[in-house]
Amino acid sequence: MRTAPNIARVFNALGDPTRRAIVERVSQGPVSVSELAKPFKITLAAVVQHSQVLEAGGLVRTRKTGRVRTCSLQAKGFDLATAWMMDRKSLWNRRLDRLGALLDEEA
Amino acid sequence: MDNHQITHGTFTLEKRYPHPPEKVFDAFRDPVKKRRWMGGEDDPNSVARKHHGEGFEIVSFEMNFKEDEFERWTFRLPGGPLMRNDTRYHRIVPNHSIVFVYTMDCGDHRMSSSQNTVEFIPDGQGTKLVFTEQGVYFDGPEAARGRELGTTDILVKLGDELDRNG
Repeated sequence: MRTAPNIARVFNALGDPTRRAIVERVSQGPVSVSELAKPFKITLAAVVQHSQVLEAGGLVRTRKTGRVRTCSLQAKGFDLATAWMMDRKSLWNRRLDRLGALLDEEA
Repeated sequence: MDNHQITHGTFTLEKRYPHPPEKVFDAFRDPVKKRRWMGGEDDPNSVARKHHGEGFEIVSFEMNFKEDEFERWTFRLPGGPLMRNDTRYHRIVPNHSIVFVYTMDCGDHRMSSSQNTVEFIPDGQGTKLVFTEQGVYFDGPEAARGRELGTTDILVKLGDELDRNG
């Protein structure tokens, strides 16, 4: 059974520069795991490990067809991870816009 | 399943106002002005209205704008649980900067604990305001809600935030 991604897993997944580079690569389109390993100059085993962490965070999905494992982007994790911070950010953004409107009114 | 998740995050907002720092700072010091812009009860475009179709109703608001003193807001959506925002001012340098901490609660659920800095930087005739939040976000009702977001943009932003944080 697949565990649901939670915010801690998503941030853990994105906390590593190699994993962020993998996501950026995958965001251009699905790619096989062995293909993924090439530009990063790391072992296939390491890429598999990274992709598992990303998968646990709901950021990518891997699927095995025959002998090829393909990695593709999954939006779910991004939604969860950013929801909290973005909510707070938009709350303060709106407040500071209201501050501007108030100052203009007073002038 | 872990029900006590902890997420660290930092964000920065920058705003330019065509008013001098003294005037912008005053809107943080004066409770009447503060209530108007921070509370946003009548704001048709408030975040609460966007998400819920209704604005927050301010139940209580008190503030004592001094170092080591407090500010408390309680508010709710019509029929919703009481929300609370508790602030403590750590450092106030008039017309220059404000450092404060705040917690946000929804009913008896703690949603977040944050350290915030507001900087008032002279910018020509006006002010550049830089707002930074360094937050600890706990899992809450909002976290479960799905969002439509451009993934690549968000990733770059998130990466930057994490780099700055790490």
